[in-house]
Amino acid sequence: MAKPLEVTQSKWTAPVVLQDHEIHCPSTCVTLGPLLADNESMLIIAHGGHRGVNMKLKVFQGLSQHSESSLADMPTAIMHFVNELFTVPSSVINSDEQEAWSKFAVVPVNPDKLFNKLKDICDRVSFSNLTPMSQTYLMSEREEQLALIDKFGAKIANTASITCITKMMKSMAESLDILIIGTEHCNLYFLDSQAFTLLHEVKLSSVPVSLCAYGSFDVDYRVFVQTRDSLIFSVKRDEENHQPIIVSQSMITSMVLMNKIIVYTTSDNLITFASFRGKKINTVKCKDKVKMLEPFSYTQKQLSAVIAVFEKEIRLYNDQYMLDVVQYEKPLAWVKFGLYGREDATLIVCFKDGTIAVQIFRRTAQFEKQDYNYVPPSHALKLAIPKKTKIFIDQTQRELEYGNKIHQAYQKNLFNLKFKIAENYQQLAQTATASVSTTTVLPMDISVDIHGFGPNFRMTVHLLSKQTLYDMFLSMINDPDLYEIDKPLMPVSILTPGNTYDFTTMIVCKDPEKAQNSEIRVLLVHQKRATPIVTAVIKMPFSEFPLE
Amino acid sequence: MNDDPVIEFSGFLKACRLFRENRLSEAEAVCTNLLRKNPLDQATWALKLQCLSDSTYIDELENEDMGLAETFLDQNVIAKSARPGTSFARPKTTAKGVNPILRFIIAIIIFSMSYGNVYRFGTLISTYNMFSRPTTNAGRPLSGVVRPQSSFKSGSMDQAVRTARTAKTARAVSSTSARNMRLGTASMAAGADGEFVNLARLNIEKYAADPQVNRQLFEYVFYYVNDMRVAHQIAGAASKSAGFEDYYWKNQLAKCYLRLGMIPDATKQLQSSLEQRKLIETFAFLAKTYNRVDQPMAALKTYMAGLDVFPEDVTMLTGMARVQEALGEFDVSVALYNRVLDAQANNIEAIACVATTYYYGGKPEIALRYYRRILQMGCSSAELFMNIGLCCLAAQQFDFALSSIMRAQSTLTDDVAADIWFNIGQVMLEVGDLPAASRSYRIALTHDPDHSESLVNLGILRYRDGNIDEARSLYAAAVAKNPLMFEGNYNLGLVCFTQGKYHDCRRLMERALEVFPDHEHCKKILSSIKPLYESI
Repeated sequence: MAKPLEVTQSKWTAPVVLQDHEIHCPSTCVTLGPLLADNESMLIIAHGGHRGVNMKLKVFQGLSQHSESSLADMPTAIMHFVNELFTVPSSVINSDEQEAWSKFAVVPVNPDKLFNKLKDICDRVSFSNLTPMSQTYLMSEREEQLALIDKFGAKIANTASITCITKMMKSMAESLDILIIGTEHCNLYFLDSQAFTLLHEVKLSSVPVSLCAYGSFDVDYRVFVQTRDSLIFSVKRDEENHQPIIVSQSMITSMVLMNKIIVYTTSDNLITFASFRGKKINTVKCKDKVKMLEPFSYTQKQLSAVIAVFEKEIRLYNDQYMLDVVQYEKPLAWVKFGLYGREDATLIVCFKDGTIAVQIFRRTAQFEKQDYNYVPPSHALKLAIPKKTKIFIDQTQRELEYGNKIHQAYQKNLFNLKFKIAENYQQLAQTATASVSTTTVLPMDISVDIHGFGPNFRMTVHLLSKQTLYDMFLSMINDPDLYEIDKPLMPVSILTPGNTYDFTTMIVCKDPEKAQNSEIRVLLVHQKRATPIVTAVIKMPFSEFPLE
Repeated sequence: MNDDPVIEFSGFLKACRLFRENRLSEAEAVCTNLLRKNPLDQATWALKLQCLSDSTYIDELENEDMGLAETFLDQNVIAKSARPGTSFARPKTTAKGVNPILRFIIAIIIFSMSYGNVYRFGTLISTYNMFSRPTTNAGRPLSGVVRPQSSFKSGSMDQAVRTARTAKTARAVSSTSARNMRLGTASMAAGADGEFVNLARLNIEKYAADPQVNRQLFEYVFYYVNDMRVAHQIAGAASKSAGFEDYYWKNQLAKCYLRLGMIPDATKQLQSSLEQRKLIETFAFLAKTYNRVDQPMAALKTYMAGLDVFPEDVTMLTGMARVQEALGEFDVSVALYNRVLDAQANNIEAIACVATTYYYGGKPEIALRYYRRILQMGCSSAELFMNIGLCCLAAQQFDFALSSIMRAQSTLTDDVAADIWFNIGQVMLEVGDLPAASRSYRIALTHDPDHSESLVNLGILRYRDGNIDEARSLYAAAVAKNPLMFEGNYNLGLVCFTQGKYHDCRRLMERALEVFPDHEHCKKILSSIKPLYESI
């Protein structure tokens, strides 16, 4: 099952699976905290169910389920606080919209007219300014529309959807929680958890999706708000103008606090540690997508870190080092760290298939500090050296035995080969057929290009000399039956060193239908020399037919 | 000893026997005599047609000769910028096989040495650079054997036309042009009384409908006369008279369409032929049509379908191995070649390809075994000896290495002379005898003035001697002969860089990067030039 791969070295106990329970919910719908007077911390999960069916609030104690109750609506997030309903204050509804609902949603029901009317309003005031009810209505099927009218038609209200929730202490003296709620209408509400009175309200410029609170409400606090367009705001006590402190280029996927550091992940697989002022402290480049972050703290050893959840493993990072890696055999859904039962460092792990397991942090665990992006030192990298084959080893044996003979044979052959090269080279020098000049007296370089498909070709001869030469001729020799050369003899009056001289002539293939080709020799000659200075031999390409 | 009377065959029977014994010209002469006596003898007429077409028979499957026009003015190309691995134009060069970084490890030490060259069956393997395969002139990963690979595009039409042409590298403008005519007409001149069958006056409809002679007539027109239009006409008429139910004629029609460049029609005919009868030939041709339109994945599927019907068939396996190799999947390709060898242990192409892979995989001693196996089978050529020599050298078998190389040198033929001498140069370079190496390169260049690898390496040796201008002109010549050559472009670019010709340098480096997009040194040089441009 879901065992960590290296149990012996692990800093965590082996995960214990809660039998016969399947959990499907986002990581925000999980919390740990005491429910009853005995102060034993329990695991509370708002089970999302399937499309509005089977939505349950489940409470676990130890390794079994404690209780279960049904939920009326889809949960967004869950927060444990000390007391028990609050409705977000309504905003003013567009009067036309109100009218439309009151007119068409009463018997006799007229869903089409309502739809058209809402569409009209939508075009005028934009979709996002309608009430959530109208938005849902516009996007629903016919049958669902009827159900909506039946259920909500009479009491339309512009209550914004809650997107996120967090809590903070009222003050150090009073152990009372203040709830902070973010809504689709870009509002933050600070609520008293006893009386559900609105203590404070903040309007932001974009929709909050995740909240982190620090400090206490009465003294001084900061609320970090991650918004849907990848900004992070810092909301302080007694401050009106809220500007984003972090603007991320890529999508922020998760944000948590670690002591006085904001840690957030982005969609380009980076984990960033930033100060409360928004200054980057460090970044971790991860190989895979980070699914979520969870704060980790172990007060006995004054350890604090973040748990980054990957597909099949979790890693612990602090702002300097990577502390630990735990691997699992199944893909993970979410993790939750905190006090559970009486164990204060418990990790609840939920897998994608719905199984849920509990792990406890070992008191004896010691973290060794590793670099974030650990690369083994270069001398430890193994080179891909091919394995020694059996044949190779046999050969080595032979070498040992017949070393002398091998050496003699090699020396003899080497001498012969060098002799062969010299002999061939000597022949070239005598006949001056090399395209690279062989006389050391007149170093000369010749190259020839042939262009065209035939029967007309253009031949370009490039000459490059090392010293100044006068009064030479370029002569072309060929089979007169096959080719006709426009200028078979070209005077080369001067060649200066370092410059390339080009000479061009046209060549006509007389009878392409014979489909023959032959060599053309280009000689650079001087009247007073018996042998040509340099020769190039060009094998002509086959000629195409003339275009009629 | 033998008292049995010697039976002398005569007349038509004699011709048949001679034909059976593959003595084609004698059989043809007998037929000619018989026809002179009785010009209306259909059997003799058909036999003579068969003799003539057999004498010029070529395997259409292997005939991949494509002209410039077909290659570059191709309308059948489906995706212009295909995903890597799904097109021959984009093999996974950097992923597997050729690794440009490793390729130039040695290059950097001695100012980029070029590693050539394995061409041709058996083929010369380069002495250098055991880690990766060099590329061919057309910029393809090198194979163990040389096959007509002209269907692969490299560069653009513009580039192809501008590049200087030589007898070795030039390609015909189209497959219906002069070069291809040779295939058919060369032997025709021999028959003094002109063409055997006057196609212009032949009643094609009549003969094509006659199942006794139509096959012979078709093959004669297709292979001997090389007149695709008439051949197509015959195949069409014959297919019609057979009620469109004869797979043979569908295949022949497809062959005609392939030659005429009408690929979709060929595909249709072959698919309909497969519905009637599943033949190895049909599968292979269908895969070939897919290869022609640059659909290697479809070709592989066709081969797989062929393998379902004919398990472990050599033609199918070889075809798959070739396609995989062209895609740069050398591991897969060699696995397939190994399967070929399981089925047919004397398949030379497979042995050579497996050997090449072992050589470049750093196991020359095993490659040596494979090459020796080819030698044992009775093949002997200069390339083979060269390869054995190079393998010996790489495997430290010094006593055999140089003697094999000398054997290669003494048996070389004109078409491989330049490669052989180039490799001798490489060997001398390894031995440390630079003057001898430089002489070998020069000899290579007299055999083939366009041997760009020799030009580059000679240039490097010149550069070492301090003759920078000469080196420069040699590099420039190499680039002019082979614009796709990485080493030439890079080295010339480097010389330009040291001489302060930044504009030329940039152009050359960019071209070098086209061939090997990940070459670190090119990138570094380019990035060091960039601020100079920006400061202007």
